[in-house]
Amino acid sequence: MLLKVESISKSYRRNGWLGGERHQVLREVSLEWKKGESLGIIGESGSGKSTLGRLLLGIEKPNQGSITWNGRPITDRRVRRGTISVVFQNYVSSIHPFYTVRQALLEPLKHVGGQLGTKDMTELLCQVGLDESYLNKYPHELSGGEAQRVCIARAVASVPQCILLDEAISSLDGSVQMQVLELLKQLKETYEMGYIFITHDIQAAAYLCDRIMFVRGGEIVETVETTQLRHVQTEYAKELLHKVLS
Amino acid sequence: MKLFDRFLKDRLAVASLAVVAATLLIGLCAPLIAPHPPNEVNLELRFASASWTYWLGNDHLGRCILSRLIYGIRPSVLWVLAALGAAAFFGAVLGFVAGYFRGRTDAVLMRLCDVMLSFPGYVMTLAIVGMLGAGLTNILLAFVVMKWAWFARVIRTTVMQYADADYVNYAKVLGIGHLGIMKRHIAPAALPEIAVIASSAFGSMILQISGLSFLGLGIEAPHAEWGMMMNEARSVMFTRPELMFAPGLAIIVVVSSVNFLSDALQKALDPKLVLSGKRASILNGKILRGLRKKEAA
Amino acid sequence: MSLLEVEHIKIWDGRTGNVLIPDSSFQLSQGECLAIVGESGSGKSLTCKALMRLNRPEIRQSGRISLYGVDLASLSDKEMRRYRGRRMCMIMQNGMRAFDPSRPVGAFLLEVLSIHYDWSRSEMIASLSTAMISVGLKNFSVVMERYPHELSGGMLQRVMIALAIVMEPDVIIADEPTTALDAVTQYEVVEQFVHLRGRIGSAIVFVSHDLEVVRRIADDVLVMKDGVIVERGKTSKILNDASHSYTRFLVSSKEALRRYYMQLMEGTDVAKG
Repeated sequence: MLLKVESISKSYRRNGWLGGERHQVLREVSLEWKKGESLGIIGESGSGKSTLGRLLLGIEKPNQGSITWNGRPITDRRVRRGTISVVFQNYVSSIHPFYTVRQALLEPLKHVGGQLGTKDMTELLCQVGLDESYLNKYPHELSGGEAQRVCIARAVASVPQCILLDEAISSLDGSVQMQVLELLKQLKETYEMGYIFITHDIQAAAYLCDRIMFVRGGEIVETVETTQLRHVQTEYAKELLHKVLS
Repeated sequence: MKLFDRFLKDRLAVASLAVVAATLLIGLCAPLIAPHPPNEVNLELRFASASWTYWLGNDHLGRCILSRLIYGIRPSVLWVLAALGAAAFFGAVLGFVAGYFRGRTDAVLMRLCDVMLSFPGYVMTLAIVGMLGAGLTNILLAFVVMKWAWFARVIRTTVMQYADADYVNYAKVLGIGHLGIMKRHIAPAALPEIAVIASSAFGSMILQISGLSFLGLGIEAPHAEWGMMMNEARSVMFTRPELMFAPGLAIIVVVSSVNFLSDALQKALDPKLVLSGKRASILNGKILRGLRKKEAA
Repeated sequence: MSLLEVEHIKIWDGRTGNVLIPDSSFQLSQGECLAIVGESGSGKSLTCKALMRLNRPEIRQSGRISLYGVDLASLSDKEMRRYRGRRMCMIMQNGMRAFDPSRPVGAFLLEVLSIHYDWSRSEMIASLSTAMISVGLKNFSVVMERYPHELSGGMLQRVMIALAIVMEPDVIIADEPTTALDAVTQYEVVEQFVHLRGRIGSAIVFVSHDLEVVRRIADDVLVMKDGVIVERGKTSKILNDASHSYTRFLVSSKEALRRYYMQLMEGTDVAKG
């Protein structure tokens, strides 16, 4: 079970499609993700990590190269169903504004043919630290931390192989961040789920991930096992790690 | 629904809704309500003033003005509504496709709209009527041809705002197809805005058809239509002003009510008030408040 | 001498009557940096905006805010506007939302300066360029011509700091300036603030929920929870030896993460969990 990225490149045209310069966001990026693995992708803003995220999710196509899931292209909708899920940074706009929490939790299941009774939903919410009373609330009635937890519950609901978290905890309060990270770690053990954790927060990535990949200017600078973090080779990675330390 | 409650609190809104609804209903049931056949000519009653049998009097051919007014609702209001619906529908389909898919599809469709929009409205209508001949169907066709491009453009903008939202991205990741997303995720959010746009166009379309009929390019005689009734009353404008007043007043009342209704609808759907979190929170990130910094300076 | 004295500020929602901040008082001396920390919803931003009287019209406030003895709450709108920018500068969280999106940054900055000062255009450009270079924006003319959305968050923060340098206000209020930035840029922007303190003698009110940043820049800390100041004191005391349980909770919230990371980096065996 794996996600394979082969030499993808992505560029955007600025100023319309009849003119303007091409802005290269990703250059020949290749990576692999195995089932159950927790991969962290670290980069500053502008490094291309968010674009990489969208490409990995199959909602945008690379200009060159391919992204396959067990050999099949991830841009094919059918391939994505039940395999990969996502938690975005902007938790409030991630939930359909007219859906209640209950409907939001059911949404991923409609296509996998799963069923989720009220009891199961309550259990799911309890696992993320919420309770049954949230089932009938609307997104705008939830606080930041609560909405993000609903998004996580939703992502877990269909038990996908992999959850991609795109700066999912950056905008939360410190204590909530900690709770969410603990939760993710727990879920990983319970469900054997893998993560692709895109963030700029190295400490969080170090806590959650087995492997960390440094991205800069659209290229992968270095990949390292978390346990070997202090042995990074490249200047950029070293600089990044030490800026956090000070 | 919260929306409805607030709407009902606005008395002007309720009044205008009542007027518009009543008008539509009367027009639909015209044969049941009108006291006399609208085209019945009675030359002895030429220019008769109001009487018990003919509440608003008779026109230059002795026809009952009240009945003509009632039957006139059909072309002036009901058929316009139908044309509006058709234009809005075509515009919406194209707007959704352009706003959702973006890229080249969007560019091509928008250039097409630009071409259509570059023709001045009245001129276009006149041209079509000139080519196909006068008559209700041709005018309505002209309206649809004229307005769909405008609807397409406006709806496209609305759709673009929602098509970018994270919840749509999430649905895409789940593997939900484009049609499903448009139907369940974008349409419910965009529909209120489309309703406001459509209702604001309604008023102007009623005026246009009346205007064209007034100029003699609209519906053919002897059919009743408000604009044409005003035209027919022109010759006796000073001796029998009431013949112009009746249709004129009808137009004013209905168009004003439609406009008030549109305003009320817009206020009821104001993101800052009703969907106080829903829409505001999605659009919050996109509403830039550069004015604050200016104030801070 | 106290530069800024805030006495018994009360903030409430005019529409619902909900009291958001019941009673806050604090003061600031020249050259001092006061940090206000707390989680979201604690009232930090409300307090800041109340100092500048920039809350939404429905939000009402009472209490005394005196800057060099003048009660800001008693000034008319017109007089208040002259204070803002010139005497009190605000640096906001999200750079892109702070600037006028329809104009290049340069045009906007020049307009701000022309409102408060009588300088000629070349004088303004000269001081802006010096300030911008000192905050690390070397391509001064390029930056001036860009629109806000074309610049990164970090650069926009630096532009705002540069503006503060030029304006030389008495008080700088920074509302979560580093929250929307990534780790490296955060580091650099905080450096800029530290330098700012050295250059001009402004007092700084620094709002943040990130205690690491506070550690580097603040002299004193106010801890807020649900609109109430639960503890105040010197930075070192608050961060290392807090009295109130909530403060200790805040300080320790990301402790586990930090410890784990330190262990990884120092090579000691990492205990699971």
